Amino acid sequence: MKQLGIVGQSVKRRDGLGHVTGQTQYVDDVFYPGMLWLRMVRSPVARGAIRRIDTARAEALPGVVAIVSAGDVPNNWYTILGLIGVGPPDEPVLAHEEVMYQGEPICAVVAETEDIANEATSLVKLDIEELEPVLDVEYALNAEAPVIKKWGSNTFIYDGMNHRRLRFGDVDAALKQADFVVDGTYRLSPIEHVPLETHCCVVKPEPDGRLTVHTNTQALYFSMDNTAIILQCPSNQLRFLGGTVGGGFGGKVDVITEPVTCIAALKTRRPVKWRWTRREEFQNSSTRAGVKMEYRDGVMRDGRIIARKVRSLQDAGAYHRHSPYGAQKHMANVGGPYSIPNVWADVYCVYTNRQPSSAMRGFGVMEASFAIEVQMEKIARTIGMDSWELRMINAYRNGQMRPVRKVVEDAALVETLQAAAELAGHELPAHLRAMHSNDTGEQTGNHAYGGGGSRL
Amino acid sequence: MTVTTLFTPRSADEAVDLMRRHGSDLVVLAGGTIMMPMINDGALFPRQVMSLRRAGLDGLHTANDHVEIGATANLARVAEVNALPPLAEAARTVGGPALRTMATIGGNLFAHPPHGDLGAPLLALDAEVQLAGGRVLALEDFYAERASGSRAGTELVTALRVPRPQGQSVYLKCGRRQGNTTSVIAVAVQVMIGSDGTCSDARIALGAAASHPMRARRAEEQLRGRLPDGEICAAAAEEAMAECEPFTDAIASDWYRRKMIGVYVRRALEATLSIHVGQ
Amino acid sequence: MDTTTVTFTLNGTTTALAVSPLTTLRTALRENLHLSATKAGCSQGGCGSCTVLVDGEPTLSCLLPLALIEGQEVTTLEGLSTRGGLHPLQEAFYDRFAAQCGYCTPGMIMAAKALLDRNAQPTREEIREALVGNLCRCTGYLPILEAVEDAARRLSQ
Repeated sequence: MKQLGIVGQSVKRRDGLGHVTGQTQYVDDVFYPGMLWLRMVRSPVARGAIRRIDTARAEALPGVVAIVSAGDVPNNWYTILGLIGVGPPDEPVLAHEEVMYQGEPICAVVAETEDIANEATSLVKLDIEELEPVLDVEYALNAEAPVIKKWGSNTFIYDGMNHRRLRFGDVDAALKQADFVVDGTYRLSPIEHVPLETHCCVVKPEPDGRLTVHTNTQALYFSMDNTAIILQCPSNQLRFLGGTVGGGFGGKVDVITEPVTCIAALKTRRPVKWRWTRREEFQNSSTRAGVKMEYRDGVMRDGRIIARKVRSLQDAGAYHRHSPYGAQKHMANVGGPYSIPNVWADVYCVYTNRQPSSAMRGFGVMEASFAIEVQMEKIARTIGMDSWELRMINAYRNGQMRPVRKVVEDAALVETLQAAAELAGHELPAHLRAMHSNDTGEQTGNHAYGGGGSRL
Repeated sequence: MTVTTLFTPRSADEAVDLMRRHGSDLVVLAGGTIMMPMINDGALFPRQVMSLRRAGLDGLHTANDHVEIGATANLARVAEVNALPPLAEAARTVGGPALRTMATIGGNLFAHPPHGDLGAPLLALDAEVQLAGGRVLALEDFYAERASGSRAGTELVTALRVPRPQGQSVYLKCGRRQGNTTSVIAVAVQVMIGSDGTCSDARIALGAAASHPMRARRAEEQLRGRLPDGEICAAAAEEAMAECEPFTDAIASDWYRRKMIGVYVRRALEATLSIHVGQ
Repeated sequence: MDTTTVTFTLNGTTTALAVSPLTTLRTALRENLHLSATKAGCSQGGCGSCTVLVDGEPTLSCLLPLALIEGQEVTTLEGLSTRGGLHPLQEAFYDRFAAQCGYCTPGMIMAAKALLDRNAQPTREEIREALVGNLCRCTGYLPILEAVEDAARRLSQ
């Protein structure tokens, strides 16, 4: 074994000394002479048609320098996954005709101090005709629900269909053959990341016409490219500076501060800072998607799960952001790390008039894992089998075909469970200790090889 | 906050004078832990603010039968008033040390439920509120006056007079976390047991279970004159559940609050009895 | 604009600042004095990232108007290291990986300092109680508790 220099060593954090001395720089630590402050006016209602935005009283407040609204945005669409072909563009950078969630940004006030900007936002008069919102994923699919997306559906359209499909084997036939059918419905509320540092962006216009952008995004190039698309400028006009993010967890991957702050800087020809309040971070920043998951598993007496039928509704909130991708990942993972020869999944990316959800720590997958593992417990109790045994019988093995049509390589779940049992002081019976990731179907009484066959 | 003036009166009289002159335009800060978050959040934009920090209202005087606590005494000090166990316990479990350095007992009376943890133990101890100008009223009446929108909202609280407990007293708080947590509900009880072993008097006070801290008087009736045992405690808990008026918020639903009132009133009563039995 | 001049001691040095009337201690530190160690996590008193010491007591600087600490002593994280060296709390946090994003770290260290100044041999439970007003979203808290225990050991040597 080669002697390695760093792998296997305990290495102190490069930024550790900065953190413990308070010298680490965060975006809110950036100040420029003459810097202005931006605060956002946001929709008070979940859904509505904008009739009029009256900024006269706000503009009259001494110290207010500019208002930034939809008309100031060169290309008023934010579609982060547009870069990988997801569409159509659905999220305005600043709302103009309608509002689709409570807290949606409508217009920004830029002023000499943050306090003045804040007070000015309360002076903007919004005339919004409230419309019936869709606030629940099941209701969104109901024929009676208002259709809130402009393509005529409350779901993302995947290849002409209103859901993502996974079809592997013959699930209905397998369910009929199963000794037990175990149903479970699992719901997850949206979860907010609560990074200690809120979103923050500082933009300084440079004499050569470029913009220097300090941002605590987790995705510097995504942010720069999307900002360039929104500003309709070549990306070499932008100089994006990232650095230490005071907690992201997926909550700082949307391009949610840079474009408007850039426009404010261009409009005023002065540096501008926009820092979010904790309230905005909780109520307006993206969250993990809420989701409703329905699982139906067909199980044999000997513990083999031979069928899984899933219907899952992901709550994307008002706009795409990363949800069409999250829903797709979710679909790919409904089998879990188990070998199930017949799988059917319908996964819907549903739009509601709620805070848009986006990325968070394994989004799409973690939700599936939660449902799957609780479902495994339900199965174990239903058929009267030990939990460890149930998992180890069904754990995927090398060479098996997964529902997403990929052959398993480098499987290690069996070995991981064995190691976990030892660490937990749980003694596994001999036949479970004898299992390994390369054992064949005959030994475990398990699973399909090659194409998606149904082994009953 | 485009505040033009921050007043720091050096006495209650000076403070009252400022309140009279500026009326409802004046925002009053005791510890600042209620008003400053609102100002920071842009929920209000005051022009005149008055701090009571230097108004000399932070005295603490322990007498034979009561403790007089100045309105701006901070929770860190209230947490050490061993003469008033349920009050000290409540103060200990508000926020963290830094918050307790700043939050005051007087300010706590103005906190909006589910905040305002000191209300329940103060009610259970028959606390009185002293207002500038000499008026004294029972805390229960203070809450009632504030709720009805009448006088007590505009007068300056200068101190609380809190009798030492005559019976056994317990404070229990139900929160979603183990510390630094807003109350789901809180319960404070004081039970006086006579020489014949029956309950001569009882106080059962509920926090975060209504629009302000309240006495559960029907629950108290279950105890008076009776030999308290598990069944009596359970009956009192049932009454408390029925007479509270819980609300739903981000912390808990009204349903859950009501259930927890039942659980915690029973636990608190049983705890006072075991303290009594242990003596 | 109305300003008020406030004189106080900051990390051992007498400091006078002209600020608008309700400017908080935190804003004064970060924006007037460019001492950015003290953080701005919530402005509600809920996260503890703005914790500093005022006359040795842990205090939420986001809720405290500077004008109210006239004549008092303020200690921030910047005042902790002496002559360029690290305070044992800083060493312990560094050695024990008690910081990831670093945002809660200044508040945590100041809250821990307030504890160790009063109680040189705290139990794990006492440390937990002392830090209960400081939130961390990255570390899961255990490395922080261990770092404070470690610092207490170092200080006693």
